[in-house]
Amino acid sequence: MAQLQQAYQFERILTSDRVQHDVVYEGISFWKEVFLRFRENRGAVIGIILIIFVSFMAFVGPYMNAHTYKSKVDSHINLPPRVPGLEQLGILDGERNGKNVYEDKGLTDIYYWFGTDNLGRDLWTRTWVGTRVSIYIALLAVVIDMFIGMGYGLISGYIGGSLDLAMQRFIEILSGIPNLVIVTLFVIVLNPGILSISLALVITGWIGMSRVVRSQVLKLKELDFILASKTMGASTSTLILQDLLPNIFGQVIIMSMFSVPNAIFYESFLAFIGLGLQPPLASLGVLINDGYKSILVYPHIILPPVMVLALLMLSFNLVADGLRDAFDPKMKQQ
Amino acid sequence: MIKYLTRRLIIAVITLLTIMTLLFLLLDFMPGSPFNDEKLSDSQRVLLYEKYGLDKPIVYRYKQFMYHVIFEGDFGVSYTIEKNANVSDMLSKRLPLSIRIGLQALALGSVVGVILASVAALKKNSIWDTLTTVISVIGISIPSYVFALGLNYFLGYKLTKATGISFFPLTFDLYAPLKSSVLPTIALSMFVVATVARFMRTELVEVIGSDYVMLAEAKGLSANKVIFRHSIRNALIPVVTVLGPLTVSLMTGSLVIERVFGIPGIGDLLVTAISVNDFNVIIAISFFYSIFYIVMQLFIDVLYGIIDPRIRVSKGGE
Amino acid sequence: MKRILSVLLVIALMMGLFTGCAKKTESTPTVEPTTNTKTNSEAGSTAAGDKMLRIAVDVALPSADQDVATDGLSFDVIASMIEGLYSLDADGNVIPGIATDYTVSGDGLVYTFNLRDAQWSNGTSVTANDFVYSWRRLVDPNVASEYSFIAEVAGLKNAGPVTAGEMPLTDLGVEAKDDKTLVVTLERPVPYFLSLTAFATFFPLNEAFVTEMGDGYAQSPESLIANGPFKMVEWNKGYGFKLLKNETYYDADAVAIDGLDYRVIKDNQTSALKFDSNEIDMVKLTSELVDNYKENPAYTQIDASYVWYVSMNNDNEIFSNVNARKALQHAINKDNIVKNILNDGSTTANFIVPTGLATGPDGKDFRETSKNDYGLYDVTMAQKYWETAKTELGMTEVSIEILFDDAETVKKMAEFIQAELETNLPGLTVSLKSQPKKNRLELMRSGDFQVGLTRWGPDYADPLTYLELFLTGVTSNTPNFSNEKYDENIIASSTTMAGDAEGRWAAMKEAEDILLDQYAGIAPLYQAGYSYLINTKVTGIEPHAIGTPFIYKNVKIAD
Repeated sequence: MAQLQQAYQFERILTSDRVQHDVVYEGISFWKEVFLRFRENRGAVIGIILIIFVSFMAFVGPYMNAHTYKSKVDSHINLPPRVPGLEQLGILDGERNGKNVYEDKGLTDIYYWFGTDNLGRDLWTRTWVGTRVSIYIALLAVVIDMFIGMGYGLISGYIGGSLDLAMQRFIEILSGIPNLVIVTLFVIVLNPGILSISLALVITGWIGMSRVVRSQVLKLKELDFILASKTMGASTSTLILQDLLPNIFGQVIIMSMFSVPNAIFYESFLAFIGLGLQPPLASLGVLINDGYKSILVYPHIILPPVMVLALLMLSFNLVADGLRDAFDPKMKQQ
Repeated sequence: MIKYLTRRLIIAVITLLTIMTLLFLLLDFMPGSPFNDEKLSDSQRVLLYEKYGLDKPIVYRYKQFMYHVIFEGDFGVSYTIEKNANVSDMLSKRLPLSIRIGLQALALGSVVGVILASVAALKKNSIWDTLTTVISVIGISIPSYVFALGLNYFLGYKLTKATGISFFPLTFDLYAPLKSSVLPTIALSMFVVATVARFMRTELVEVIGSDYVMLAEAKGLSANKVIFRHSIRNALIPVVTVLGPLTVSLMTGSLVIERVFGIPGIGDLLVTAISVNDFNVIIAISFFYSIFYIVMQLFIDVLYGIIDPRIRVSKGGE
Repeated sequence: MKRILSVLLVIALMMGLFTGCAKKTESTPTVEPTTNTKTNSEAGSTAAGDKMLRIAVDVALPSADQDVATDGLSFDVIASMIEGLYSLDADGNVIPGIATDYTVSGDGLVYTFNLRDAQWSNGTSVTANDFVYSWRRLVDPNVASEYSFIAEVAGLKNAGPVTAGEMPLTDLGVEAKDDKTLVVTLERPVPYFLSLTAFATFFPLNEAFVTEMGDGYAQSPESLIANGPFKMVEWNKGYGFKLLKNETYYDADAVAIDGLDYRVIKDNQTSALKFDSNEIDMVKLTSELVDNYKENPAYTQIDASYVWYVSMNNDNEIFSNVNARKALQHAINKDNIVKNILNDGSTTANFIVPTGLATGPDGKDFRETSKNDYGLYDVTMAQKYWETAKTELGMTEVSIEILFDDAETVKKMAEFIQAELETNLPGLTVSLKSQPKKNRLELMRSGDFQVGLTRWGPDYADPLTYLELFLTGVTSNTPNFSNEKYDENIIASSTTMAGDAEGRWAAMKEAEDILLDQYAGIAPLYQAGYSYLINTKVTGIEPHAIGTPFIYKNVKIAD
């Protein structure tokens, strides 16, 4: 880090005045610089490519073969993956315990790229359809974090005093009531489905984020640069948006990266107890839950959703790290 | 400070009462009944409601319930899970177990997490840094039950088969709690490791790059001193913020870990109780959860001031 | 080097931080086992010289009180501890228990039982009064036993009014003539009465002991006594419990094992691994795991009597149409449900009264002599009915919703049925509604559903245990099926025809035909079977389709 900074300082001396003007005076170049810095981060670029790839597959994947997410073939249950071409190499060749399950069943020219589940449904299609739902939930979790969580934490931490006290007690009350109880109550009013899941997330999904933001604001608001801004007559909203926000971005991004898998698994947990998505629609979480039941017998069922989820999480984190570095106000100062 | 604490404690009691009241109300709206047997006739269900006083108006039941909780510490009996068992008795065995395994996981997870974070922050953008990211991404994106069963399969089952010695029992054993809680602790700590490593690293990187650490370095202070005296302390705030609620949820049990390892804790109990409307069990567990949570919040707010004396939670911003 | 040192310091700091929280636990008592039968648990195997049957169960023991219990595990445990007037042998025949013999009056209404000399584990002897007390407790409105209906099923005199609190307990048709003679008066002849006395709710209870324990009765090993083959010695709630051989049992010599050791493990894959490591002797397998063990010598299939069926709300706009109901009956490939989804020994049900439930006057199983082809899978027939139904309803596009609960195999089954119906019945759209079981039951009871997946288990060895379910206006009649002739037949077979074995048999067959064929009130799916892994060294576990699921008295464990 220190070396990196020295490198920057070294560069600055060599740069022309034009660049310096841009940095100091023109707001637009901040974003441009963020973009440039982000683009230079190799991990972040890989992350973006991966996200685009997974999203692309989520939209196109289900149409790449003749199966739908709910069509079943009773004679094709529990088939391991088999991919044309690759099977000559001895991988993904439809073998289980050394026996070719496809040939045993007389299915010589049938291929399921991810195999089938125990109803005889194509896992390829189900995985990518499930990815759509999970991406939606991931985005929803981030949005909830950004708007409700961050807003709540900023206000609570910055204004402080008795408002902070009241707002924090409200969080305690929300946390004290098991949210399963609340979600169960939704089910009377609304039917289980994407709407009740979204509402369930809205209720408690933002608490973690608001607490992290509050702690950061509590720490930062006593620092000199805030005082300086205040002295110079900055309004509260300017203070919050321009001085505080950029400084807490690192933790905010990390926190939202934690909300994503949490939300995805929370959704599958709701499905597990009958309050989530209605079958046969599936999300990655639901598929993982289903696959878990027979992991010792048919491990191929759980592998695709776990791998897609891990890929998605890895790319989200790479992008998040890139964003964090790009937004870092200390880098901006250089 | 004492004045502040007293005030917070009074508010805590009010918060707790509010939670209990709200929960009591909400549970009354829960669909279904604690007596769910397919064979139960309507007339017999009426008798059961009378027996347990569930036919009384809600205000009366609420008063009775609160009276027993506050003055006798009695949460009533379980209706479904362990029929007629006293809920306080049920929890007195299970709660300590959940707390124990939760704290073990917390300790293990924090230690590993801090090591990973420090290595990653000191060697930023090195292979170690990437490794930390990958470990924590795996830690949060592989569901804990898959991880738990994996541990059980390879360390509990395969290893025992291969060596003939049972290093790690497959399930929790009340008579050998230490040895048999190793696997559940590892499984549960995975998430803690990921959390601590990520938050700590981010904060450490920022702190190490900040002016005052550079100043300290420039003054010729040793790296140890810089990190220990200046960096870690400042990096602790977000970690403490995240770990507080995490600790509470660890101590109140994990459904998944308890199911996989056969641990009679309260995580599984709460979910089961909600799914069968075992009202008293739900309220009792929520009661303890809320107390833990409220105390933890207070503890964290006080801790902020200790870690960073500039922070004053007790006073307003303006 | 210096950096490593710094890392260590950081750890120390973190540890210091958490001792603050850790202190809280010290004040709470750590878990200590209630009794010190440590040897059994640690060795946990036959190697230690004691022969314990180690059983894994997936739910904590809900109750050990026979008037509170409603589930199979509780009944197993109670039946291991207490023996009733009669018991069942391996084939389900009634064999003498505490009663040595009985006489019955000519009209079949008065049973007089002679009791043997038997002892409770606290040294008192088992008397006729223990039965009188227990049976009165069963129907006591203050006890509000969920199974009190069984007293009416058994035909005990005045059971109905006493349960409802309209008559005093003493009016119940049971009395102790002397310590060793029990006289039972019935309201009507009940052909299966004797087999009911082998069911847990009719077991004796020691009045003095139960009264002394009060609310604490059956909450701990100390608050339980036994007169049967085993007695409870250890009960760690939610973790497991242990029963040891009861030396005061009158037939103790016949008990060949030292006891039963139950362990609660909710994750079936863990318990299967535990079985593979020889840490348990008996575990029920979930459908998903069966494929791994089909070839294993320990794999055992056990027949059960639960029948799963599709309940079609007969009051619903669509399913008030008999052709729509018939179409649904024929449109589902039940063989594939049994083979692919359940895979655990369950069998297709083309009937409502299950196989192996009741033996008729001719000595043959009810199913053997009745039709077995109700609602066969036949797409052509289903489509024919479906077209008729659509014409009659004046609809071309129909959408329905299937209600089911969140148990895992049920979800699979619902998904399967959805696909079957949508493929086989043109113009039908099916949506699924999964609810926690309590909601599902509540919705079905209140008639707030179109199609529901549900089940029924038998309470006694007679077809009526299923057929009574569909009487007009009965709580459990979820399809709200109502047919005059059906009601007439069913009521007659338990009242006017109660003494006429052949007549009532024919009446019940006719009723089943009305329900399933003429009116297609419901669509039966399958009769449940269970897959178990049972250690090959263990013999003599006696499964029963009715009442107590398992009797362990005659278990033997080879060395």
